[in-house]
Amino acid sequence: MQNFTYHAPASLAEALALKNEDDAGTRFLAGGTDLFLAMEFAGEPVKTVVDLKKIPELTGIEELPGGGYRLGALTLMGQIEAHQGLRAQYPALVDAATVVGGPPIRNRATLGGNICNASPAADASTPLLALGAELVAVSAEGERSLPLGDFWSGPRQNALKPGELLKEVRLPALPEGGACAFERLTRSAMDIAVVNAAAAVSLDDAGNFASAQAALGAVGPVVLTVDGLGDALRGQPCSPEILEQVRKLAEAAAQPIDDKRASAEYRRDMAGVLAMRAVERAQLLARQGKGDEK
Amino acid sequence: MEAQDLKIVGRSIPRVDVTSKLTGQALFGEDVKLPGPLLHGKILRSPHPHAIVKRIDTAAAEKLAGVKAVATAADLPDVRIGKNLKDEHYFASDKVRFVGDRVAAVAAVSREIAEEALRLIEVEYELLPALTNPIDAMRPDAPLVHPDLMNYQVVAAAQPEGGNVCSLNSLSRGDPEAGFAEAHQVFEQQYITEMQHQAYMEPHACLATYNPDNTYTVYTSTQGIFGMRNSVAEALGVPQNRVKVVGTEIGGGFGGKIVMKDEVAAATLSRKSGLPVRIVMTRAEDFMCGNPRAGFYITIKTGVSKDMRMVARTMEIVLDGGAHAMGAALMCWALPQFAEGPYSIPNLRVTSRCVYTNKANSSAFRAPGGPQTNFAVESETERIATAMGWDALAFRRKNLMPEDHPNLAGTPMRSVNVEETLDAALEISGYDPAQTGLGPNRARGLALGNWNVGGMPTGTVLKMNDDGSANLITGVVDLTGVNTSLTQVVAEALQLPVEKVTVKSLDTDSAPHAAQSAGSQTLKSMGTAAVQAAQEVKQQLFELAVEELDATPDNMELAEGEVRVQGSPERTVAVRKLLAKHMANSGPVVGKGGTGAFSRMPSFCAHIADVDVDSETGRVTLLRYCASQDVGVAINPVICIGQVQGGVAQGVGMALSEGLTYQDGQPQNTGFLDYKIPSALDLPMIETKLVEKPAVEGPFGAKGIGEPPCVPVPAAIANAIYNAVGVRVTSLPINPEKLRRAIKAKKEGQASS
Ligand SMILES: Cc1cc2nc3c(=O)[nH]c(=O)nc-3n(C[C@H](O)[C@H](O)[C@H](O)COP(=O)(O)OP(=O)(O)OC[C@H]3O[C@@H](n4cnc5c(N)ncnc54)[C@H](O)[C@@H]3O)c2cc1C
Repeated sequence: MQNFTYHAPASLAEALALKNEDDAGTRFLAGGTDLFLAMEFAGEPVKTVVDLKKIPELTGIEELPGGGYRLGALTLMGQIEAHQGLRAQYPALVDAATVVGGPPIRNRATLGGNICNASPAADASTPLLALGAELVAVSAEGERSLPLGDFWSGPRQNALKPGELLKEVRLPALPEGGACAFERLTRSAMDIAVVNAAAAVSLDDAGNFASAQAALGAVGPVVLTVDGLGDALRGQPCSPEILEQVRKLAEAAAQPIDDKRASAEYRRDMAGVLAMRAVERAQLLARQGKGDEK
Repeated sequence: MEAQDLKIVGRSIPRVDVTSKLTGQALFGEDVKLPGPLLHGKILRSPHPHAIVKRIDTAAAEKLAGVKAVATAADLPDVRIGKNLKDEHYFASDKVRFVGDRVAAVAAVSREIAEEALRLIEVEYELLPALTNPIDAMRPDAPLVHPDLMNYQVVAAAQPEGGNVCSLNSLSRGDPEAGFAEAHQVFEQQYITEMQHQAYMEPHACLATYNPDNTYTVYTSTQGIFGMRNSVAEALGVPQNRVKVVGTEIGGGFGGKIVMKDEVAAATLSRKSGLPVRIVMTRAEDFMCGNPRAGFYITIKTGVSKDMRMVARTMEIVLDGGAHAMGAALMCWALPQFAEGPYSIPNLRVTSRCVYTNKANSSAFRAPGGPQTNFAVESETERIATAMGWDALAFRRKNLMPEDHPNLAGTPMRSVNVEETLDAALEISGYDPAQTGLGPNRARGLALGNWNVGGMPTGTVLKMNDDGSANLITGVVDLTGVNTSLTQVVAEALQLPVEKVTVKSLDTDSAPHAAQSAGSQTLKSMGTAAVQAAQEVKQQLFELAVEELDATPDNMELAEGEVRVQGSPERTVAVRKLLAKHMANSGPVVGKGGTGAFSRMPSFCAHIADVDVDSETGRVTLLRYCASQDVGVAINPVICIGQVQGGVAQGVGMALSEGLTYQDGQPQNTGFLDYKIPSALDLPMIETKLVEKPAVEGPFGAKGIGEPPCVPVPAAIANAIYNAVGVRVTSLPINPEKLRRAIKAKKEGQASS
């Protein structure tokens, strides 16, 4: 491991001031489950590490007054996994958080780290994108919010400006009759996704799709949305033909490459399969949700 | 063997090493500490798969503060080493032949400084084209990995053919070509398997120290201390008595910890620096420089008669040997002796070639060559039966080898329990050949397995203590619970409670020569030696008791700390008393035992895998796994069951996910993220049945069982996949992408026809 200077600010203000001193070689540290690996094995040169773990403003999971949730950037995968409120409304996010590493990793790995690390295979990022999450970033200049879809520009590249950090994630309320689901293809545990997919749908009173969004991981430089899905599904029942359309749209949205884990061809194929499964399962959950209400 | 009245053998006593392992007190390779300062060694390894080394300059590294020694080929005698074929320089001198080949070594006061020093060593390479596929390497115009091959000294087993073929072996019986001509139907198919790493938990780790009396002590995580000592002495160019190897606790070996690794570098650095030097491989180094299971290319051709007999077969096998012959040459030699499978084929020829490539040196991995050849043999059994419309089980039964069947080397196969073993698996699983389907995309698959276990020269000493307790001195490494089983063997032989027997694995200075813990023969060899040693002890006691008991030694027996006259339990004398008498007359009672090489004897297994295939993703889920194992006698049943379950787990990895991959000679998956072994969640409970029928040799009739359980796994799973989705995959691993492609191709084929 390389030598670096270590700071552990106790407040947001202190952290932002620190980072201003030397932006180029400075990195924020949350759980370190990505950062330290990059430093140790990929030789990423880092001069200063600013540990965020003591900053209270970055923690907490709270339901928002108008529906939806606020999740502090330091929220652990393990906390998401154990959160009953999230589990009831956002099973896609909870399922994704639950497959990240093993229990020790989930007690270190943060949601903010998963997003900021900007890996196209980041499991928790895919459902957040399908759910239309917003991010709140903060710098010495103040706070700004931006849609998650605008956050990543490439592998390991995010929209944070020098000195800016991710403060929290805002999950919008699900529409009436909405539900979501997450799918991933790997070995049973402790594995990086070959492909992952998440879908959020809502149904109208007739049981047809009212809205639908899906996202795909590990099939492009960043986590991708499946364009045109909402338009294609609105007003339609969940039939084999419609699912076939989901598959086609997902295959078209995917921009995979060949790498040592899978060929581009297989990844595209799986993007279609997993998107179909995620939509189908989300739709089933939505149906059950409606059934429960009655 | 007669039915035996056994008291201690056959019981699942807790392992003797359980407390030290569970409390974290066991010392593994990296844990060894000596008083005083210690240096950290690092190895400079070739970044190129194939290159001429033109110049090495270590001056800058030597000057770095904190560096205490740098070693290169110049510090060792200019000899080629190798157990079967002397084809390797310890440090590359002329060429590097794979990514990871050892070029130089550094010892420094910290790991970081040692790593920094490696960066300061300048090596000038002239790159050569790299071979990553043995079939390409056999082309006449292929570059030569070892241009001097035909001048190399052969030690054992290797039979160089020339070109890149470092060993060729072909054995036959009958006339396969005539057999094909007369056959009712002939089948031919190629099967391919990939290099598989042993994926033990503990990477290679050692510590060496050069002592003031001009000797070396090497602590290392190895499967065989004597083989290690001999290799180290050879490379250092010193007599064997001047090297002491101490085996540490070993965090898994599976054949991967037989070959010497960085021990000589550590010893040389210690000699140069005057301080102990520890070298621990990173996981990436271990993947890069380990000794994986060889990848195989098998062309198998079979002629069958109308009445379900296999009348002729040829197997042309090409092994991906990697950069040096090592154990792959031995495997190449041994292959024709077991590739027939559990069958008897009148006209048979097996030809194996071990081919150099610019990849890691393949060597031994649990049943070397077994799972690869079995994958071809047992896939073909089912493929042929399906094509002929036969019941695959009946087809198997018709061709099983009988007792005393001579293998291709002419060795009679004794204690053939294949039929019983097959029946046991059928019974626990409820397998019905007419009903292999379990629902849509779900089915079961069967494969039989065979593996020949010999024995290796091994000696031991059994010391009796004044109070009648006993210590067995052994030079075997306690892998797989062997010291526990040996404790039971000695306790049984001397009729002592297990608490009064201690079995200790000592170092090469203290223990008589013992074989490596490998080849499934450790308990068989050492146990036989221990029984002999116990026999000697008994003899000494019985002779002394002649006076007291007024009986002849052959009428005496040991029981409950006494020597008794058989049939007259009242005529006894205490063992303690006899021991004291012996001590006064002629010193302590010590028994000595030794065995040479045993002939090879088969152990059989039958496995049934139940799978679910996700036909849209190609992902295979194991629903259930049943395995029967022919064990002769289970000295410790729980340990035997553990061996079966572990073997199956490794077989599942080979079948579904594992394989070292290379791109232009560069290893692609040198960590557990990309080298995928099954996790606990990928495995169902493995149901086992031990088939007990005492074998004609081995302690109390025990057979070798460590290796066989991984043999039939890939074939059983491949057969289950075929039964589930009608797709026969002929290369391993059957990963989701490969299976999905095959399923798609089949669908498209059906759609277009
Ligand atoms: C064994 C193992 C298994 C894993 N399995 C999975 C898996 O199955 N699925 C998966 O998706 N991931 C997996 N990961 C990756 C990793 O655990 C996750 O991506 C995790 O969520 C990262 O969070 P962290 O807190 O550890 O981030 P860190 O490593 O601390 O940071 C990651 C990056 O984000 C930056 N950063 C962190 N927080 C902020 C912030 N608030 N503002 C600005 N920048 C920030 C850091 O500077 C760094 O560049 C695994 C990792 C390991 C070691």
